[in-house]
Amino acid sequence: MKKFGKFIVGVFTKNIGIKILALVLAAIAVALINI
Amino acid sequence: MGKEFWLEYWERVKAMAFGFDWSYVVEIIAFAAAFYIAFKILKENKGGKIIALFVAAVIGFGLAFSLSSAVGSEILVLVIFLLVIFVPTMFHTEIKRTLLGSGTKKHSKGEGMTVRDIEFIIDEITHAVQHMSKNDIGALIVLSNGNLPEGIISSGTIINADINAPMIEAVFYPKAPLHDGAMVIEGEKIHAAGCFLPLIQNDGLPQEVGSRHRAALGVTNVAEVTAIVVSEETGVISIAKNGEVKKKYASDADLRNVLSDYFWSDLTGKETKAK
Repeated sequence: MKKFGKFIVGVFTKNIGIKILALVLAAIAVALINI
Repeated sequence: MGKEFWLEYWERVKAMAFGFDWSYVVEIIAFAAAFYIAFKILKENKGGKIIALFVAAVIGFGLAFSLSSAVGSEILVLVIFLLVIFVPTMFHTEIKRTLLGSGTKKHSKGEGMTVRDIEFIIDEITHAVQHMSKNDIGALIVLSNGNLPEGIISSGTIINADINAPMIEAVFYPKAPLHDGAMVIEGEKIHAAGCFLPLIQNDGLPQEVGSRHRAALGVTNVAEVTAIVVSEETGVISIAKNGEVKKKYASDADLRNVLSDYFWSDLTGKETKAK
């Protein structure tokens, strides 16, 4: 259970910089596609 | 582009912003996942600068296509798709290395070794490499976790001998039958010798880079291993990792650092595993 918790935390916190960048870029791309 | 155009464009932006649709969420998640994979590959393979180009290309093309009434949004989706495809094509060898590394179970051969065993092995390898360097004897040693492609091991001769300086020097002695290939060390054993490695195909390399160095770069490009090279011409010791020369003129301390990294973290997967 503890390992699973660590895994979940890791999924969200690992490479957080590029995750945020990918999400922001995806939002911009979707917005530009749908305009 | 007159005033009416911008007013109409602004209306479209407002309509999109206020007309929330669940399909947008799905699209964002799909795009974010594709971008994340592409960025991760780029970041792990020293392609950080390409991320900025990638972002600029998506925004640039996006703006151009959204402003142009002649081109449909499908073309923008296609351009983004092509950009995401372009990254794996450019870094195909690095992706292969990552996939080979993740698909292979690390042997963790260091687990049975004591601190004294590891210190002895590091001393012996360092001593042998330094001695060969002083005598201009060429050598290529690959520190592997059992993750080398099978063809490489089978191209040489399995030795499975204990690691000690006389044994390493005997293999690389210029008239010895196995001196021309690479020696593969796995944990506390010399696993194989006389192995043929893939040479790196890189036209950017200087002419003076010999086949031993090209082989070291080639093997570290296709597998997550470290290679130690002793130049036959100059006796210079170099260290290669991830398809590039980490230390062109490695000192005794550099050599020990690489070996310590291999035995204490690469091999066991933990900082202090040995008893």
